[in-house]
Amino acid sequence: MTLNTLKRKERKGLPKFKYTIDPHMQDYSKEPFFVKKYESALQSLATRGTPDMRPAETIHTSL
Amino acid sequence: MHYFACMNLDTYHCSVNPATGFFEFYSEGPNGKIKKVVSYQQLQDDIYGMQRFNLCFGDWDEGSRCPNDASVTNNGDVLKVLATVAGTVITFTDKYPGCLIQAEGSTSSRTRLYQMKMKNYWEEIKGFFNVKGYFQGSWEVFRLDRNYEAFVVSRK
Repeated sequence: MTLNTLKRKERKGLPKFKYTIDPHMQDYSKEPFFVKKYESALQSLATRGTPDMRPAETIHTSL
Repeated sequence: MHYFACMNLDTYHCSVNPATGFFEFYSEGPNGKIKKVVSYQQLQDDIYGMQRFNLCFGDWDEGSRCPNDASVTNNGDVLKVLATVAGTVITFTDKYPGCLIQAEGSTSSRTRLYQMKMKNYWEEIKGFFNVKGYFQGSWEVFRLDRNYEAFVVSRK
């Protein structure tokens, strides 16, 4: 298979992104901003709930 | 530069800490280099057997050591920034394929901006993601003609 054909095949699906793994990146989870965002997200969950995103064929309903 | 090949968009290169799930990248433009931090916060309890995460991101101010998601960076690269964040969604859902990701702008105008960009690339997005939006008190399958308050996405 030529290189061009391989490249065309890759582009048909979602691209794989390259990224750098940085184990020394700071942990922002305790920063007040992210703590506040987490609390807002929980509040949003409590208010709005979560939609059922399962594929239709996996949702079983009892008759 | 990394190309969002199916949508012909370029993105910034990201760093990620797998232990914490944070992504970092730098926006570059007339206002210099601005660090952006993207977070996927796991929410309590799985639902329908799917882990739930909250997506949030903002500018990290090294001076105040505090992120800010309400600022307008004005680096003229909003599309590239959003494409980069979209790239992190793909990367994250590659690792957690059965998860739900919820997202909402810090302001309603931000939410509308995200929606506008989703609309522009909807034909590509819908091929890979299920998207629902919250509209007037209930969740529904994403429609192009509505202004939603929040979104939930999952990989197909």
